[in-house]
Amino acid sequence: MTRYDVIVVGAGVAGSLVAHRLGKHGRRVLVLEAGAGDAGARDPAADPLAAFLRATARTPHPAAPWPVMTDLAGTDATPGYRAAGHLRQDGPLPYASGYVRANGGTGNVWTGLAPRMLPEDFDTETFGYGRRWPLTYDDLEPHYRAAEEHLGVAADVEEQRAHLGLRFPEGHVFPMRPLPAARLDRVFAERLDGRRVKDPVALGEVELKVVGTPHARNGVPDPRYDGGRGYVPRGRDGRPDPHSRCVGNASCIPHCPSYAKYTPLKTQGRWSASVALRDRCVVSRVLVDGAGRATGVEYRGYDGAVSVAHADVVVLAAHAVENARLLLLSGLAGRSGQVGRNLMDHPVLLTWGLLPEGERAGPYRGPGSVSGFEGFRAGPARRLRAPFRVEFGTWGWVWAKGPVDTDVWHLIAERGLSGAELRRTLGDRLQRQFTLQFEMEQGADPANRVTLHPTERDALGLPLPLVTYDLDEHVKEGMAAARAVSDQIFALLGAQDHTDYAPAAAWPGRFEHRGRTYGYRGAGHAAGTHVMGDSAAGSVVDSWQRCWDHPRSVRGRLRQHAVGGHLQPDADHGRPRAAQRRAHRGGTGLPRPPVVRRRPSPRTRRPFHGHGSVPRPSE
Amino acid sequence: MPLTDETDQTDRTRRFAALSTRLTGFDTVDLAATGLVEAYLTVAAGELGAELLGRLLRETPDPAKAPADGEREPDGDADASDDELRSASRALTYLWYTGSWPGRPSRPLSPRSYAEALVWKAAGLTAPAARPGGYGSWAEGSGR
Ligand SMILES: Cc1cc2nc3c(=O)[nH]c(=O)nc-3n(C[C@H](O)[C@H](O)[C@H](O)COP(=O)(O)OP(=O)(O)OC[C@H]3O[C@@H](n4cnc5c(N)ncnc54)[C@H](O)[C@@H]3O)c2cc1C
Ligand code: SF4
Repeated sequence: MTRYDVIVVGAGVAGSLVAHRLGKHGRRVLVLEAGAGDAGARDPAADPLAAFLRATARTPHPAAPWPVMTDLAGTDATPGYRAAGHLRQDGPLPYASGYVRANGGTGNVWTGLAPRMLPEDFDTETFGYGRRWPLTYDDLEPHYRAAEEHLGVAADVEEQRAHLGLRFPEGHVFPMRPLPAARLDRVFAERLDGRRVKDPVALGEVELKVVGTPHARNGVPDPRYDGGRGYVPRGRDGRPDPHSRCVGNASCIPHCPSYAKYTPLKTQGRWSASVALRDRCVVSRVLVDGAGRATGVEYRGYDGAVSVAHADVVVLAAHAVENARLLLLSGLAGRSGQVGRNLMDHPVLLTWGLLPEGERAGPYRGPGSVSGFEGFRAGPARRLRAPFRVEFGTWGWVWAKGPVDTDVWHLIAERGLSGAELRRTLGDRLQRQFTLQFEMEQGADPANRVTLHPTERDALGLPLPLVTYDLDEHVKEGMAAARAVSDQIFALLGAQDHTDYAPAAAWPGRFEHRGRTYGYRGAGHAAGTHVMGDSAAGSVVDSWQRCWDHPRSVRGRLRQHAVGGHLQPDADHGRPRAAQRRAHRGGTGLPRPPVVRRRPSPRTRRPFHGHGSVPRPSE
Repeated sequence: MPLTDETDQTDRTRRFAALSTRLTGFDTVDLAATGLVEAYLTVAAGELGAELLGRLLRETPDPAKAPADGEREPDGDADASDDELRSASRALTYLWYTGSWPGRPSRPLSPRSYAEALVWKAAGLTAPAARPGGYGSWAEGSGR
């Protein structure tokens, strides 16, 4: 049997990157991936539309299931939701994010927005909540740059400096120039830039300013990048493709047919020959010796056959929920009692409506969101409410109400329209639709956790993950502030607000707060579950993502975003993905731990489920 | 005789196209350009049955006069056959606009159905992933 230097569990963003870095240093790496190797996007003969439709129809194999949108439904009872499927839940509110178990992981379907965290995000204890990171923005800054190089990020460095207060080295630019603003962004900039809105929770005012979001999708390379050496965009399978551009397919979730959006398959295309991928291998246990050092893993094929592989180092990169499940299944890393705890997301308050008559939002023409408001992320208001980013949703109402089929059915069946009137009304309605997506930061709370279900098993006989989750007052106050801000924005725009968290079945994430009803979705940004810290007493891993209990062997790898998810202290509302990369600067044979955080859940496809059904989580 | 069959078929197709035009607000040239008229006639025949489709082709009630769901007269006077025709008309309209038949896991019948769904054309747009507009096309004002 071949012995490997390193076994990586999971070929998502985190696992693919770690394997890449190790392979570059000549390490023999075995990547064990639970999902099918071909995520449906690699057939060179497939035409782009067929590849998109196939990605849309992708469903889990019973041996490697993942949470899908129909698993969660709202009810009128208490709690106001029902959870079936892979991720069972017993908390007061639902964890509304899923993830994907196919080669490439959740990064197949991610939106591709790559903002950095703010320096102050690393220590929210200053604001009275969450946990301090054992790292600072400046520690990570070079790794953010490395990540932005690998993913290929398009953004405006001056804008990021001026409006987010981010620090970059003198003269630094992003690999690619910022993407052109969407039509909706321009409408907002014209009407809203410079206007002030009140935050009734923090009792302050915030000046609105439309700011472009950094994107991990191909734009026009900046010749100034890398000291004037420039940058070459990467296309399918990560091959250099100078002309690859985002061409506005508007299908990034679940699949970009022009390979302009970064996915882990691009990283895999760059793996050295010393990295081997074995798909349809569901790791069920991490093996350790008497001294607690990892020696390998046990895994199962879809037929249930059990195999074992050995290596000196085991890297867990299976997603925040599945990493925790695996550590719990293995009975490892339990000293601090923190494994599976501090599960986070960016719960998203959505509000949606129509621009005034005669105006066009220009929906469904490019990425799902190009720009946003960044003014609600920083400062003392965080003491009183969760900070949040505001994303402008440019795919109509898809995240709130489901695919456009829903609008069609509404007009035909409920309003009885047909013929020319139907055509005109529908066209006008679609063109005026927009959504505001308020993504809340959620602090680390040990009560939000993943455990093993006491009785329910998956098809391979492994206990299902059980999630206990809730939103605390800090997050709810963030949503209250967001709703008030939304009301003012709608008024300033003269837009018609159609926000309505009904019917109950469509809003499993629904609660009352100070007399108002709020509905939220999950952003797909799972984080936490193997919290990182300064000591073995209160955390699962150190700042290199090494398990305290299993020195030099089991590394919890997180997910992306800022981290790999598992680790991080707070799920910051900046998307951390880039951070992940930071981790890779190391140079020595072993990867530096990604310290990133994560987020995830699949907003997996929402397109076709006819009227009445609810889209998955977003973003 | 084949000749008669073909004539019948052509006539049926023509009547189906006319009905579709009335329901969708797109003219017969637009509908023919989708290449889906025959396919949707077959789908409608399969879903509705020959008898109902035949009636629909002959005597569709004017959909504009149909009461919307929930606004129905409580006296129940509305004739069941009209109801049947109305819901068949709605299903057919929905098929043209979305590429899928209502009431089942909504999935377009084919990649072509997906790409040609009238909902996008009504808004001057194209279906996601079907015909990208090019770099920066999302910045422009109207449909392509
Ligand atoms: C719809 C959506 C949109 C998003 N948009 C953004 C965004 O714009 N910006 C951003 O920063 N983040 C975004 N995220 C979050 C981001 O996609 C995730 O944080 C990230 O992909 C997680 O990467 P990962 O490698 O940690 O885990 P995953 O990508 O989930 O990869 C884990 C891998 O491990 C495999 N695996 C699981 N269990 C086992 C096992 N037992 N044995 C073997 N293999 C296993 C899985 O099959 C999978 O391939 C989004 C998420 C979703 C769902
Ligand atoms: S908008 Fe289209 S081309 Fe651009 S990244 Fe998304 S799917 Fe790809």
